[in-house]
Amino acid sequence: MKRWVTVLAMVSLLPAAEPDEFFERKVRPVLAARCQSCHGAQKQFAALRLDDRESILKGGMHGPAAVPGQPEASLLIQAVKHVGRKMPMGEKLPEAEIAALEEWVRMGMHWPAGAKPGGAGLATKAFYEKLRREHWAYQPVRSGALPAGKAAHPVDRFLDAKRAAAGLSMAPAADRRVLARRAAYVVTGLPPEAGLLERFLNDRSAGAYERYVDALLASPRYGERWARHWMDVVRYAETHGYEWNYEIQGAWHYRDYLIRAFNRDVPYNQFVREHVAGDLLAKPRVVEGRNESVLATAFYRLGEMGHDNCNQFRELRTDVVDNQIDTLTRAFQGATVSCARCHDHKIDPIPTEDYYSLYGILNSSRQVARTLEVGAAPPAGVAELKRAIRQELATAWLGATAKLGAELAAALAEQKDAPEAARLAAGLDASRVQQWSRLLQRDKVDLADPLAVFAHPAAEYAKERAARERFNREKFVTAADFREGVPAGWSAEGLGLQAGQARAGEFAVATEGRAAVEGIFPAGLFTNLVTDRWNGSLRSPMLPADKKFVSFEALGGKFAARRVILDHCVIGENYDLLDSPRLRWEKVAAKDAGKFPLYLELNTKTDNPRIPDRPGRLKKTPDASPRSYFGVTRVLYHDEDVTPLETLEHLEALVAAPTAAQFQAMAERAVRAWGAGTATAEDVKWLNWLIDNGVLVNSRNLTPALRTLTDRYRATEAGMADPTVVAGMGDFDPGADHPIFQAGSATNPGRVAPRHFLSLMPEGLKPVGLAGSGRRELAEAMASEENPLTARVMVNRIWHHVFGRGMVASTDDFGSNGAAPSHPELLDYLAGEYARRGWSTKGMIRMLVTAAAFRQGSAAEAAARAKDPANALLHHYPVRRLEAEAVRDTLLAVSGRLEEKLYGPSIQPHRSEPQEHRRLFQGPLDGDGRRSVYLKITRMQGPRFLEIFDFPSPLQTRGNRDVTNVPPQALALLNDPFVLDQARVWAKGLTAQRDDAVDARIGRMFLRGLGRPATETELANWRALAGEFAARHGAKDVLGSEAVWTDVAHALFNLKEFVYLR
Amino acid sequence: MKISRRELLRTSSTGFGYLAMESLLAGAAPHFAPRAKNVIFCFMPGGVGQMDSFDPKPKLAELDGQAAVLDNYVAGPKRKWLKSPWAFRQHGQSGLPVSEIFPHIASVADELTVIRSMKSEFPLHARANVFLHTGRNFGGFPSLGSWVNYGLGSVNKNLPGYLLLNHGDNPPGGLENFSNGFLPATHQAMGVRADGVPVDNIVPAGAERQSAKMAAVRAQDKEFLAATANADAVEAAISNFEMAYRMQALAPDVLNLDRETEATRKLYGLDAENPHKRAYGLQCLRARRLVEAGVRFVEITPPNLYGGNNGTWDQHDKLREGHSTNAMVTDQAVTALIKDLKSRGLLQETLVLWAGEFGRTPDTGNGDGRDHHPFGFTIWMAGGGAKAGLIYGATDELGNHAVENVMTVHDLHATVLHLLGLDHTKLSYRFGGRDVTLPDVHGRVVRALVG
Repeated sequence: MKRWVTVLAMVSLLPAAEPDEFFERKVRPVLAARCQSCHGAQKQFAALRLDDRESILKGGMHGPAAVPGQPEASLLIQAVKHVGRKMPMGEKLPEAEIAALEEWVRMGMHWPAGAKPGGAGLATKAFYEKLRREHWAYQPVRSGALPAGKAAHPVDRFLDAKRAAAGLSMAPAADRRVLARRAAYVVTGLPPEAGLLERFLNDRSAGAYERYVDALLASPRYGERWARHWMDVVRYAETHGYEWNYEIQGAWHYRDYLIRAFNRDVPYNQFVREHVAGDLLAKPRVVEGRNESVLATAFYRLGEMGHDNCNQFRELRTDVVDNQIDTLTRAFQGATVSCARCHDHKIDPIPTEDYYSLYGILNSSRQVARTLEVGAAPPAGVAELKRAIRQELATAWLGATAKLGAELAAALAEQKDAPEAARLAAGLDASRVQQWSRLLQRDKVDLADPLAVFAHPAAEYAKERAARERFNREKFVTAADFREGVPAGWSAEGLGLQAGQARAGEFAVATEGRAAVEGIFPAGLFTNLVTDRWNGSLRSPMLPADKKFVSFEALGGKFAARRVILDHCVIGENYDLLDSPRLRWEKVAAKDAGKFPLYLELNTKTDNPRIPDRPGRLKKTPDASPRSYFGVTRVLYHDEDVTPLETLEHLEALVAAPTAAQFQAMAERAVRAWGAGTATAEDVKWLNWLIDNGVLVNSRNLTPALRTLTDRYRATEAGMADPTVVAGMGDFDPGADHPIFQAGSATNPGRVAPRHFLSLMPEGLKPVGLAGSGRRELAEAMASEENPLTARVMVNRIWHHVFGRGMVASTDDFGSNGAAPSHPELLDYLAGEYARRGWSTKGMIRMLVTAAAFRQGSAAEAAARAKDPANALLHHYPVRRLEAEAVRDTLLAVSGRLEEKLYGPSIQPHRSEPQEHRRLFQGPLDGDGRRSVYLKITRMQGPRFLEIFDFPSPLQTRGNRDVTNVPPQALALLNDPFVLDQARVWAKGLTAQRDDAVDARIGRMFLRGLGRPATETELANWRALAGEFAARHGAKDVLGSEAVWTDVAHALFNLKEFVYLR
Repeated sequence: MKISRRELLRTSSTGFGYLAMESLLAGAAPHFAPRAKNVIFCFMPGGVGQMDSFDPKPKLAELDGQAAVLDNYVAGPKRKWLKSPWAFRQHGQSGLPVSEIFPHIASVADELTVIRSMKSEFPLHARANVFLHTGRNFGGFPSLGSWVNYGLGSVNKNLPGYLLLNHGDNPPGGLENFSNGFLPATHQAMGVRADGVPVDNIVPAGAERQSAKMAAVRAQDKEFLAATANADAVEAAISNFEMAYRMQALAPDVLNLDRETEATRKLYGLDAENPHKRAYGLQCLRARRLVEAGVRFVEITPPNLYGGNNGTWDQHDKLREGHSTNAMVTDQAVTALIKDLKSRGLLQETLVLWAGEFGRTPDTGNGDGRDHHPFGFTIWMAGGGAKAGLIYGATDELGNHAVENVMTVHDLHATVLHLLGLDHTKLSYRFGGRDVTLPDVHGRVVRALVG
């Protein structure tokens, strides 16, 4: 008998049939779980690794760890059997595990081919194949026939069938008021508006409820409610957290996008496309002149992010991508792909390779500031006004240059102590002559300065010119020349740059201050040709590995900056302000370009994700104005730490005839040419020299006409809208596959994972060999009707919000770990309907809330409760507490404080502990009466009042919030200043109305607060309560006492009925 | 599938069943005989210099001012070795060397278990803080204090089991440091401020009218409960409402120091001139009262005077001024806590843990500052069954790398749980399909530290 047992045990372990499977099932898990934390890729205690066959054979300090075929001679086996050495530390392994290891060594230590240590390829193909074939969520949606039954509503057919099979039935239909309140909260997150409720209650005709639901769905409050649901799914926040809590640029625009998208019922497949690749769509959706599709890509950017240097701290980048992969796959696919970051997914068919193929896709895109305006053009008349200003200014300046030659000649004579000096100066403005003298006396003047011509012989100029040209030619290669457009590989975005291509002599009208012009430019790209409120982001291609420096000829001011972006760490420390109003060479060391993707950006203030910066980083604190500008002409690469030299063409004619008269001629030529719109680069140099040295006065007060013209320009400019800039994604580089980081370690790259969609998807949805990043293909694969997960996951999310719990309870995990669907056929039916009916979310909600299951009462029968305690079969409508936002919004709505304003910048929440250095600013107690969706969500500290009621921390996809019941919730309703304040606001409104009886007022409060009339008993109780408060407050005029009604209102807020939905 | 007691607790966490179950579990769930029942964690964020506190390095005095050759992330050509500006003397029978900035702590040298070989993994505050608290370098996981409460249950049913005594400023990593993560929300830290009203919403509004409101609400809630056929959620909310009502009375009582003697108040430095010192002393004294009242885990963060945004002890510059001031603010009260607990017989069952997220570099870039240093640093414990008068582990002669008996943050977690009678491999919670533990797959109990 004993013998047989041994034999049977052997059979169950017998590795001969499938050595791969034996290893993967019995051996690898033991090595991985028991040994490799000390003897693996990360640590090698006693110099021993147990994560691949060669290492085991090689062994460590004590010699080979195993001898194939000889378990008794193998240290590994001795150690686990506690013969001599005892391993692992702590408890001895279970016998079965020891037996498996022993058997494996005895059979020759088979190690499956292709399985690399610590990285991808761990799990057997067979295991994954089986899951792909069998796990319900990966099978095509099977939208079969409706079950037989009496119910009219298709949803009820499925539910009834299952309920009946369990011997259960629905609860009796809910009271109409209860139903109205329930539907209003589910659809809009607020109690029903009084008029709407009244109409519904009075409408006894068929379809009254359906019409009520349609009215709710048509309310803009619907979009606010469902946008907030989605914000949980995309871990919405407006700051990056970490140490300094940098702002996520324009994040609130994304919130408004969601509200619009839900209110307009944008088809969900389009919604998905826009999120994944809205920047790449052939036909983006444009709403009121703004590109909505691009705006959706902000969702990638809403995660936590650190500012430190990513070449030192690699995980600052890899964690960002990880969070993006996690959010992307959980939000849309209910797949936990990020579990495969360090090893193949243990229980879902997601190999590490899938993770890094998505990593490659996301890493091929850049995180950039997107400008949403489409086709924004300068307002009519701007070009004409600019021409007039130019001509007026040129005319005024020509007057000033008329005596230039004479003044300069006098100054030159004075300089040489020439006898004719006094004669020459006679009749001239002495101060002007002095000014020239001062200019002539400057130290260390470069040869490129026009006045240097008078101090250096022509021969020197000839030599110097050649030398400079040679230097520039030999030391630098051109990376980009913006004089005639934006070269390939570079990208110029923003309203300013869109209108920013300048010919020589283009200029910017000054939009503030005394100056007439902000600058006169040579050919190039300038953001402020129309207004310095228009923005720009100029982005370089990835820098080549073999160049040490990049220099660009640029100007800029008002917090424009040049930034170096390494490994896509977009809020890195490496940036400097551009603070020269004249072009100059800016040099950047292209360190680490070979090791990391590295590119440069020039940004106006609005486009720089580091502004507002942390305290102390910048000398001055930028204000909220969008005014900012930069310009650029050329970019050069070089290997030596040198600066290009200014060339001397503009002095050629002067060098040939170095006289004051020629100087005047050059100046006049420059002014005239500029006025006529034919200025050359050389003329521009002259003009700027003349302005910088005070020869030409840059003032809009030069002539009354100039003053008028610039006034008109400024008035026109003031009427222009600011650009909308939002953190988003963009593709600017050729896509690149990414190596697998073995065991998740960025410093341990393995083989490359080709970019494709999840391998668990149907064949047609896994395009390979992608040209760009692959996001566009990814978007199509996710939005496809063939995708088995997209519709199911979203329909389940909708169900979750309508019925309080998803058919798949784990809303964000449809894998093997997740819950099985309670009604798989119904889920498939709805997923099919969803796609068939144009992915209409409103339509799906309407379908669910019109089912009898939604319209039933909420009292569970004891027997039903005993049979199905979790109410998975929906034998009653579940009672639940309002979500955090609904609690707060209801207080505002009932008190009368609610502002119905849609959209706009977020309101800082009221905080117990504002910390301005962490950008946690104080906000108004009542949030200006705005709905909770408009409160600013800051990482590190969320809205205090909402967090008390389970508002989630915005770290990862959270389709299914915690529902807790903790004392701080009750304490908040009892004592929180916001709650008391709203009680007061309500009381103020009530007492102003002068009801004629306490009962009438209590009745109205019940209707408004609880959505139902008070019963006789309740009236009596609350009348007594009001009386008690009146006595305590010593109020003679009960109805007129705000204090009394504040207390009554406050008591009503504390009713469970107030915050529970049934 | 076998359902554990804790699992049951979670799945029934909305009903009365939950409360009944939890009271059964309260204080009755260690895996083996515990040494300690409570923890007071004196968190020292920012990074205390190990060579300036409890790990003297004479070699640095020799090399002071010479070019530093280090192999770490801040290494650079302009860096120089920096000796400690402070003298060390040995104290107590154990002869523990203590820097002169901690004269009070020096007086309880024989109570301390000093670990000089701590090692973290991240030289960045936010990550290292979250790592020290949760064993992970990113948010979303439960803090040590939450795990302890989850493992042991709460003794006092009217107070949360994890309290955070702070000064209105959370260290980098924010509330993730003190989060319950995926554990039930009852295990999250409740903040208690030093200044003003200590806890949000704890002071009854219109106290004299509250009972009338409560009575009206109670009566009507009963009707509502009946209308929902005794829905669990409503039932739980009602009992929760009652607990909140009681907390209003109890919490201020526990936090009220009026009943402490003048001597005790002096011991903690509540008579100090420096307001920060007074505030920290107040929090330390509150910690003792809370532990007496049965709160499992009390964490105290110090006032943030010098660390800018990055934690109290983060002295990249002004090391002399910053470290000595921070020491002055905290030294007496931390010591008082140990003495006071001991005199009340509570030290045996209360583990005092004094630790930061990392240490500081033995070299400097500016002559009066040190940078982040996770490769070898010092923390200490007292009471709670830790071996008193012990110096464990060592760094190299420069205080750079931990070289002897290296102790990781995971090891620290495993050891703290062990002292509380919890097995770190068994104290788990099923989340995301895994049985997740505090130290993940890492961590070992350092038995040498157990008294």
